[in-house]
Amino acid sequence: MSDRETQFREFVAARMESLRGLAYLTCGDWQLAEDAVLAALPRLYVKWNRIDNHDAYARTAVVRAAIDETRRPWWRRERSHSDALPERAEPDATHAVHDRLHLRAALDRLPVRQRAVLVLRFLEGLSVQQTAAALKCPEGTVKVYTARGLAALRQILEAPYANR
Amino acid sequence: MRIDELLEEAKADAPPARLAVDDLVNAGRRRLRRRNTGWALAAVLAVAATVGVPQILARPSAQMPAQVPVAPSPTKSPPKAEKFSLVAPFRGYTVDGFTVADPDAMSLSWTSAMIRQAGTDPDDQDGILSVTPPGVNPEPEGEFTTFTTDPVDGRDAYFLRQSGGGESLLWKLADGGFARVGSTATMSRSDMRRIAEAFKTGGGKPIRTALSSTYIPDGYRIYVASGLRARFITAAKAEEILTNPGKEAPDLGGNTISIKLEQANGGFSNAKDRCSEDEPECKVRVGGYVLVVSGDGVKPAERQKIFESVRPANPEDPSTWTPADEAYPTFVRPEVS
Repeated sequence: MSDRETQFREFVAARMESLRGLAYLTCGDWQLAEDAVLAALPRLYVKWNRIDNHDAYARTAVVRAAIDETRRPWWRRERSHSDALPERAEPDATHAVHDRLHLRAALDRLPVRQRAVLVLRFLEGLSVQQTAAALKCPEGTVKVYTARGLAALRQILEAPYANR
Repeated sequence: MRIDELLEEAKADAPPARLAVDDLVNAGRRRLRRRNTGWALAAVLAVAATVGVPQILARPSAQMPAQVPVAPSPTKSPPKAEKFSLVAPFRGYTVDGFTVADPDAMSLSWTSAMIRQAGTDPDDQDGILSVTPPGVNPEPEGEFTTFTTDPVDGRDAYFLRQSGGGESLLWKLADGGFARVGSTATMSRSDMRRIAEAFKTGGGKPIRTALSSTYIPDGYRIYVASGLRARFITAAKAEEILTNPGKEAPDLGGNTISIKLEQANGGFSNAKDRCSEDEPECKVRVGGYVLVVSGDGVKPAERQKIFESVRPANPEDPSTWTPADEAYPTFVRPEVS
């Protein structure tokens, strides 16, 4: 087994769950999230020996792939007909599940790039500059999306369930 | 609760992963091999042969010809009406650091092509150029704001910004249809305008596909085809869409048939055809992909018959694909007036 493969295998074993979650929070669908991981990580394998920061590359590639998944004409035009339907936010008997579904529904209501900015900044801990580089957009856009995303999230989460 | 805690909580009950480390390593290896040496059809056939593709590839040739009959019709009896053709209304081009690929998907309502920025990973997508025929409303679902801008090619144009981000430039075409450049954050308005101004209709190539099928039930018409997917709808719904197009993403009705090739993952390990009445779809692994045939409102026996008639080409080698017009029985192409 080559060094590349050994190292890549170890990296994937350690990071796949986290990257899958990152993709999920970006695109809002577990199936699409796995598609995004499957689209992104083989690229990392190919470039493994040329990349210094594998973690940063993987994060960026996965988030961008997750955004791409939501931009595909098939997704955009046929999502309502596909088997990748968004999970429904229905109240559950337990508060924990209820809260989780509420939060997911709130995230689902944010535009995908705002979600990606929030996830990269607050879950992955990237700076504005790093987030801008990851999403290939100006730093000003990251700042605006952060402010708008947080405000929208706050507004949605504070709204009563009955009004959603 | 802090935002990071909220985000952690939102993904807390992840379903079991379908992907395994081996799937990603294998996908990486395949990709590297393609990069380094080119991709050999023999390789995928060899892999496929070990994991159960024989069910597809080795079906009785008497019933399943190696190639889908194309109906070359040298005598060509005079058609009563023209058939809808899956030939793109435009072709790819390059302008100022952006490449618009040849269209890779087409439906009764739209044709789309990927836009990529020069110097980026060829698998990255920086935007979509889509064209809608006359009568189709090209504007997306949801809230948006429009901003009038200078005409493109002498015709009306405007920017459209969706409520939460994402901007497009739309402009009217000579035939009354619309074209739309949908951007990502990497594309400025002037980038979109340059792409729009270099756009020309005509010269498009047939949409090609890795899928073909000798059997589609009577009464179904093709709605959309791309490299790895096709969807069929009822003849009545197709006629409705062609005569009264409405939205870019019309309601396709309850009865649809979908044929697609998806990348395989760790959750799919069977080596046999899977077409049971308990499942809404038939599946079989084809090398690194899974062929899936599903049908809403289609009887299981019909679904299986479609499934058994599908001939997948090498999904990773477009040179082995066929024009979508020739990939299915001729009758699935609806008539257009």
